[in-house]
Amino acid sequence: MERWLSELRPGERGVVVRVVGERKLRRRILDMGIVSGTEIEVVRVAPLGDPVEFRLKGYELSLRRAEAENVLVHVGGSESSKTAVPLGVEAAKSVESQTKTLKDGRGRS
Amino acid sequence: MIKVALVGNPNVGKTVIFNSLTGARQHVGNWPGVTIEKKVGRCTHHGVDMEIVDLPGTYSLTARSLDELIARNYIVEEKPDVVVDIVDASNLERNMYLTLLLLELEAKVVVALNMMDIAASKGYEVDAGMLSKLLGVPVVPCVAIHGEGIEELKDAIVEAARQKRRHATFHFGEEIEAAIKRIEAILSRCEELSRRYPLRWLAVKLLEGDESVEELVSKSI
Repeated sequence: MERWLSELRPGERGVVVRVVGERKLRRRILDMGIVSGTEIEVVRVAPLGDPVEFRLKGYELSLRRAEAENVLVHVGGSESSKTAVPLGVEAAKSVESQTKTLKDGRGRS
Repeated sequence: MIKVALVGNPNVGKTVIFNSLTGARQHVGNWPGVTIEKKVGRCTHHGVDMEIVDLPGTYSLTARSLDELIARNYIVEEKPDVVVDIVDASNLERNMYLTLLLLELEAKVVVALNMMDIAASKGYEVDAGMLSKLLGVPVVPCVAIHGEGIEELKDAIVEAARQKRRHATFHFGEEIEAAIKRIEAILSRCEELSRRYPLRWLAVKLLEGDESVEELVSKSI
């Protein structure tokens, strides 16, 4: 099931599917490591519901709810694991191909 | 005199490394026109003089914040001989993003893999040799607060300064690479831009819609 990151509650996790929104904000979100295929978990929510702290790539990041509304994630459920796996595989593949490129590229430098 | 720039994400021990490299031989000023601190220090290693500039801590090199812009402009415009990218070994995935951006800038990068002790305490074994192979740049493991790896880092800086400038090696896939090539070809007609900037980097930034690069290119063409 796909949901917006802003809808998740503490303890819930998902895999980023897509980041939308205005160019600058989208760019910023991507820069912070929220890219498709990234696993992200809600750690806690501030008393008035904003901001929200997330954990991803081994670090914690706080976002405003309005910012988190631009991130679509795929969350648990029975069929979710099927979809989550290909995403992970895809990410691994992309890392692999990038690594290869880096290796190939060394010769050129 | 070798010009060395220190970059890294916030809280990776950049200042500790700056202090261990320069000792008391440093002075603090400001970047021209802004109230962001500029720290410059000196260091002599095996008879080689180095001027070391501590750039603001940053996660990225877009032109969005002043810190990032200062770091990026320094690397692009001043072309330091060596850029030391200080990386938190206990948080590699997060830190590698900036490393790739630096490689894209075609800087001569030396990676200082700091906080190896914390990485070990988290149960991570980081293979510095393999990382160096994958990135195509020297990687020096350190525990800066205990002074470990600092001499090796100085060696690596001196050695890297002697090497030729490297070229970007990140491949974006056929479709985007074709677009990059087309833009590069157009940009290469401008002598001024070709002399001052890595054209591939400009092309990539234009595709990303980076406003400060758009402005720079439109002014020059």
